[in-house]
Amino acid sequence: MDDDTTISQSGLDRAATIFSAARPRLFGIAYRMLGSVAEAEDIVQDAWLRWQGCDIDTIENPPAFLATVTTRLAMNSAQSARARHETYIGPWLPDPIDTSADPEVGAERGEALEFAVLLLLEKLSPAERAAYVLREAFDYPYSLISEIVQLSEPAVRQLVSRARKHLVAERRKPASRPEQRRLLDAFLAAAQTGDVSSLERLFAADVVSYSDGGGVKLAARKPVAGRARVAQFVAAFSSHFWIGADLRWIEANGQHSVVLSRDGVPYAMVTANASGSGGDGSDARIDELLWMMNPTKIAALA
Amino acid sequence: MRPFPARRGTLVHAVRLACERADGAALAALLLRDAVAVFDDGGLAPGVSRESRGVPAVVRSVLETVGEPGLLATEQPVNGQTGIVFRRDGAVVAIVCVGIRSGRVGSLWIVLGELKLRAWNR
Repeated sequence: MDDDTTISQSGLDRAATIFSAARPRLFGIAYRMLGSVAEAEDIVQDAWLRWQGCDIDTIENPPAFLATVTTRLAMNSAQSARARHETYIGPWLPDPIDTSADPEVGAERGEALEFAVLLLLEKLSPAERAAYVLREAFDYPYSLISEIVQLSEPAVRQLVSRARKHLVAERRKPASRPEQRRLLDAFLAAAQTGDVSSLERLFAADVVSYSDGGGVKLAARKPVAGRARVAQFVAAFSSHFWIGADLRWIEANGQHSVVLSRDGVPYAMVTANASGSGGDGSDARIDELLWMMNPTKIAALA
Repeated sequence: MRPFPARRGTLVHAVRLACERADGAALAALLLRDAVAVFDDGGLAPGVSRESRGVPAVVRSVLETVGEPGLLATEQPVNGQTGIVFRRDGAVVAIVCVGIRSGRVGSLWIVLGELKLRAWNR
C-alpha cells in the first residue's frame, strides 16, 4: 500500500516535470494560433488534464505527444473563436504579451509573434494556421505536423506554402542584393533622362522619397509619397541635378548606394530600398528612395 | 550614417514622445498617408468607433485615447518587438503596437481594457 502510493507519487512528479518543461512551448503554440492569453492558458490547462490521465510510460515521445494534444485543442478552439470574433463589438486584436517577462514564448524562434503576422494568421483556416505555426515558429518536421493535423505530408507542405504565400503577399520581403542593384541602376538611367513612365514602372505604389538636406540644399524637406508624385518629383530635377555628375557605386550601411560628384567633389548620395513578392525578385519594386544631400555628411564620402 | 527615420526603435520612440506630449503635428509627421489606427477594448461596449483611417483621424483618435496627462509611457518588448506600454498609477491601461512600412508608421494597434490586459496586471 505504502509502496503503491510512492510509485504513483513519483509518477505524478515525473508527469509534472515533463509537462513543465514543455509548457512554454505549448503556450507558444496555442497563443500564436488563438491570439488570446486566456484561451491559450485554458488549452494548456486542458492539455495538462489529458496528460495526467495518460499512462505516460506508454508514450514514446512525450514532447511530441503534448504538442499534438495542444495543437488539436487549439484547432478546435480556433473554430469557435472565429464565431466569437464575429459577434465581437469593434475590431479584434490579439492580446499583447510581454516577451521580456516570458522570453520562452518566443524562445524557439521569434516568428509569428508580431501583431501584423498574428492578424494575418487569423484569416487562415485552423489547419493552415497550425501547420504554419508549427513549421515556421517551432521548426517541426513535416512528418510530425502531418500526424498532428491529420493530413498527408504533401497536403501539409501545401498548407504551409499557401500560408507563406498569403503572408508574403501582405508583407513584403526585401529584394535580393543583385535585384536591389539592378533596380537602382535602372532608376539612375530613368532619373537622368527624366522619363516619368520608366520611373513609375520601377516604383511600388506607395514608394516614399526621403531627403536629408541638412537644412541647406534645395532638397525637399518633407518626404514625397506615391508612385506618380515621386516619379514627377524625380523627373522635375533631372535636368540640372545630373549634369556633369560622376557616379560612383559604394556600399553604405550594407546597401548599394551611388555617390554623385562634380569635378571630384561629392554633392549627393542616392540609395534605394526595393522589395517584392516573388522569390526570384521578378516583381520587385523600389519602395524607398533615400537622398543624402547634407553637406557635412557628404564631405565624409570624399 | 543612416539619417533617415526608417528604424523601428527610432520610430517607436518618436511615437511615444508625440503621445506623451500630445503633440499632434509630431505624430502626423511619422504616419503614412493611409495609416490606420485600430482599437480593441475587449469587444463589450458598443457605440464607439474603433478604427480610424488617414492621418488626421488617426492622430485625433490616438491622442484622445493615450495622449492624456497622468499616463506613464514606456517602450518595451511586446510580442517580440518594441511597443509602447501606458500605465496609470502603476496599472497597464493601454498597449500600442506599431506596424511599419517604408520607414514610416502604417498601423497603430491599440489594445485597451482590463480583459485584454489582464496578463500585464497580475
